[in-house]
Amino acid sequence: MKGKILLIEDNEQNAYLVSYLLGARDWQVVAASDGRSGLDLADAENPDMILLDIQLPGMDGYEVARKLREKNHLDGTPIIAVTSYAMPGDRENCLAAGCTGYIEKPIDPATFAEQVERYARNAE
Amino acid sequence: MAETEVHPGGRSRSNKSADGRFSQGVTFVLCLSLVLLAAAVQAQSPTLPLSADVVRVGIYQNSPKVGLDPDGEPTGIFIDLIEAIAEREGWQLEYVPGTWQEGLQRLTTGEIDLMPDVALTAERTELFAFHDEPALSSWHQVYAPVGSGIRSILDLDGRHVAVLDGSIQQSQLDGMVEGFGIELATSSYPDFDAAFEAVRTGDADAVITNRFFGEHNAARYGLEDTSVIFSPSRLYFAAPLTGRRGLLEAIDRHLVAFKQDSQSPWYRSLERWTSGPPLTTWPAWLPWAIAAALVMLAGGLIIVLVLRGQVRARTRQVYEQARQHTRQLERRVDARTRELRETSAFFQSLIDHIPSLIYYKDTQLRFTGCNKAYERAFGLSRDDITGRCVTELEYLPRAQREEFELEQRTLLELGGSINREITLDFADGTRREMLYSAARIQGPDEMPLGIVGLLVDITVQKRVENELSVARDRAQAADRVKSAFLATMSHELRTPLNSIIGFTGILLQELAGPLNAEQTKQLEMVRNSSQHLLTLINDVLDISRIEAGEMSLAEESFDVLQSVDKVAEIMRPQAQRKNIELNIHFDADPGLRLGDARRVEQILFNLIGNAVKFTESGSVDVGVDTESGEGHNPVVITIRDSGIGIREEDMRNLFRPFRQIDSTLSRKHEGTGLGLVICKRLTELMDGDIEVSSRWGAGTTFTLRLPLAAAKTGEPA
Repeated sequence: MKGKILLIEDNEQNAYLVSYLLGARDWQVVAASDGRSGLDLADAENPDMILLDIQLPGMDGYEVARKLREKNHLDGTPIIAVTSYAMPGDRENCLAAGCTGYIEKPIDPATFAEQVERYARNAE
Repeated sequence: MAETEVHPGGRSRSNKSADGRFSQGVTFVLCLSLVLLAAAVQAQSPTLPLSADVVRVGIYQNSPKVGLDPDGEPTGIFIDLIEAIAEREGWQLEYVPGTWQEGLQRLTTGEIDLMPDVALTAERTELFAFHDEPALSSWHQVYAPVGSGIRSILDLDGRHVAVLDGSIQQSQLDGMVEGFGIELATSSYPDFDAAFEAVRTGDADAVITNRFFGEHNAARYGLEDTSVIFSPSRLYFAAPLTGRRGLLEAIDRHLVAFKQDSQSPWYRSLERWTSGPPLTTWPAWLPWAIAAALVMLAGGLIIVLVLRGQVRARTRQVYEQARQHTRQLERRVDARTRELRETSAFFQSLIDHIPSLIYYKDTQLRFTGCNKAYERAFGLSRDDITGRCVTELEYLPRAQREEFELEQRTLLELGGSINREITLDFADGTRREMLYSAARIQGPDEMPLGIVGLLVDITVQKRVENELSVARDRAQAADRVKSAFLATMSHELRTPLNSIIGFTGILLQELAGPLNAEQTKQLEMVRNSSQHLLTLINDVLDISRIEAGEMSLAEESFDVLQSVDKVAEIMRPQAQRKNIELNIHFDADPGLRLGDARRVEQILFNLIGNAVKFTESGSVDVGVDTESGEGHNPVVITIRDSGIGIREEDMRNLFRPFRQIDSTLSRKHEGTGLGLVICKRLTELMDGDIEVSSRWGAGTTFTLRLPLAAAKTGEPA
């Protein structure tokens, strides 16, 4: 096991896709389908990395990121926004909300795991 | 006797036969009387023989100088003198009486030897001889009836004056009268008695005579002397030019002697014949002084008269000039008034044709006029408001009236201008939005003359403006909605696409198990289609970002050649499939540059992709070069293809969004039509430009020029 990744993603297919790709690379993935449960899981699971979709129902990704950053036990834990750049300014907003980096949607299955692992290495 | 023969002959020369007969008659009578006289003389001294010493003296009636007394005896001053001289010289005197004219005539013909009482004139010196010492001094003087009122020569103007026929008085009087500018009528009489009688009887108003006759005889005719005295003269005995020698010299000699002796016959005769002081008491210069004074007086009078005439003429001239000036002035005033009326009418009709409301007021803010539009708007006539203030008029609400008045008073005092929008209720019941402006009218001396106001109806403009504003707000809102819609759609489209591409990739990686050849081929088709769909979605997203002005570019160091290579390599398989050559020429190495590599590659991907897409055979040539001398040595990348080219009419729309989508539903080439638009916009964001040249059917060349700054060496690529 390389470590534990918290995935907060409301789309079931995408959540499965990411879990599959990372699982294939020996990562343990715990998934939440909205911000609230994501925050709970972050407390409960204390993940090594968090993958965060910005477009979430209810509490959006930016707010989730800010709340995650308030948790002391997650200091130094990379939060990677997985965003489609739907609106202008998304990239800057992600970083301002406390995200460590971002990966553009749609993800490239050939390179996605590699991108995630690069962020993980940078955080160490 | 000789005298009797001469006169009829002399008179016969007259061309007036009646006069001639009369004259002949008179002459005959006179001759007869002379003959009788001579006979009488001879009878008195019959013993005296006629000899060479007989001196014939002419006599005429001009007492007391010379004349015949009631007994027919010669008498007078000249007679006293000549008899005294004759006595001393031993002459025998023979008197020949006649009129003055006859005497002179006889002197000319030599019938007599001496003629007394002749004044010396230049004319007479041609005809007669004179001695040197004057026998008497005399002057001419005007006599008139007592109380005639004749005082000066000017009083003779228009009068009838009697003169002695043939005397020098007449010509002298004529000269004087001419000098004074007066006119009088003269009548000639043969002797002074006849002339005086004429005045007495009223045939003449005055008579001119010599001092001697006047003094001696005036009272007899009821006449008195006047102050009109002129032409002092000296009187002589005259002799024929070829007269007897010694006569005149003897007279001279005796006269000089007589004048030196107060007891001489000369003095005795004067005392006897004149009532006034003897002439000897008169200084010799007196007549000349009087003459000079008279001449000066006459001259003075002439000057006065001339001056008066000049003044009159000048006055007339000035008056005439003044009248002409007045006439000219009146004409000019008329012309100006007409001009002013025309100008006024012109301006009134001009402003009457202006659809805006115009009015003007004086310095008391009383209306002085307005135009038709103003009259119509408030349903009034300009006569209704002229001379009145707006506060006195009813067509505006009270508050508005007072506001206008106050505002305009300030304007009048302080100048400047008013410009604001107001609402006015017109007479037709409509409420209008008006642009109200007013300004002070200033005269040439900057003194305010009043104000002029202008009201422009902007009701329609205001409505349009409001509508436009609403429309703009709506459009902006719609734009925001559009952008949000596009973003949402992009996201919503991409989410499922994410799964499709992701799982296709997983399957093709055979992470989920081995695939046979057919499964691999079909899954690749799925992947290509979803990649294309992703490109479309990305293009829409990009253009919406650029249009919203929210596209930001990275400023990172990158290797231009690497980027060109990378894009070319991505496109190469596609070119190979179409059997097209894809050639890269590096004419210069731009090196490391600062910019957004991802966006530069996006531009290149579009341009090279298009070239490959629209070329069926031949080649696509990509050249990389730099331009020198301009700032950052811009990177120049040319993409030349041998494809179908672009039509002239399509060039215009080449860089406009959605054009291809609109016009190419049936096109065979896929694409959003946003590619070139995005390229153009991204290039502009990089301060660069794209040029295109093309010939239909012969290919197209795109030239991309990017003024990217050179990156400092050592920065990560």
